[in-house]
Amino acid sequence: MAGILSGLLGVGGGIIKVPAMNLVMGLPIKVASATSNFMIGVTAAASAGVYFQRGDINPFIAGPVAIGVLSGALIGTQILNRLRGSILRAAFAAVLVFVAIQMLRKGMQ
Amino acid sequence: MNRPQSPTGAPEDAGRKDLEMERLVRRPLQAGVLVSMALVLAGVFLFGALHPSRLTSSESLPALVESGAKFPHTLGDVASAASHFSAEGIMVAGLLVLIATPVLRVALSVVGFALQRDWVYVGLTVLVLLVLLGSFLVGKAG
Repeated sequence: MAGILSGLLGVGGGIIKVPAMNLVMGLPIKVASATSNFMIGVTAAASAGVYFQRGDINPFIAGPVAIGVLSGALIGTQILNRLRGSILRAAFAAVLVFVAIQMLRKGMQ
Repeated sequence: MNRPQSPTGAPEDAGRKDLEMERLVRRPLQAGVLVSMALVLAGVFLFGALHPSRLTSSESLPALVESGAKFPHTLGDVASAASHFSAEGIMVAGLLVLIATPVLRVALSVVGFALQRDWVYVGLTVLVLLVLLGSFLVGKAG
C-alpha cells in the first residue's frame, strides 16, 4: 500500500508508513519513524543496486546528496534521542501539511 | 516502564536479547555510514584538487550531471578505478559501501535472530535477504 502510493506519487514511503504505524498499529512515534527509516533503507538499497548496475548512478549527483543526507541523519538521530514524542508528532504533522500543499499545487498546474 | 531508552525506543525492560541484537548491529552500521561518507568526501575533494576548472566553470559543471554521462558500474571497474585513485572511482566506492550497509544489517539480524533461536524471524529475515540479493542479480538483465 505504502509502496504503491509512494511510487505513484513520488514521495518517500515514510510519509505514509509513519502515520500508519503510529495511528493504526499504535506504535510510539519514535519507533514508527525509526522503523520506517530502516525499511526505506533496505528497499532503497535494492533499487540502488539495480540503478548502479545499469550505470544510472552519477557520483556527481549521488555523492554530494549522500554527504548531506548522512550528515542530516546523524544529527537527526541525536535529536530524536532528546526530543519528546509529542513534539516529534507535531513536527511530523507540519511536514505532512507542507507536503500535502506542495502536491496539491503541483497537481493543479 | 515504557520509557524510551534508545533511538529505537526500546522499552527499558526489553531484555538482554534486544540489547545483544543492538550491540551486534550497531557497530557495523555506524562503520558503514562513516566509511561511506569518508570515501565520498575524499572523492569530492580529490576531484576538486585534480580538476578544479571542471567544478568552477559554468560549461563543464552541467556536463558532469548530464544523463548520458558514463560511470564505472561494475564491481571490477569500481575497484580498479578506486585503486588508481580516480576521484569518480572513490566516490562510487563510497556509494557502494552505502548500498551494502543495509544489506549487511539484514544479514547480521539473521545471525542475531538465530542466536535468539527465533526461527520464524530467521526465516522472514532470510527471505528479505534473498529478495535483496535477488534484485542485485536480476538488476543487470532488464
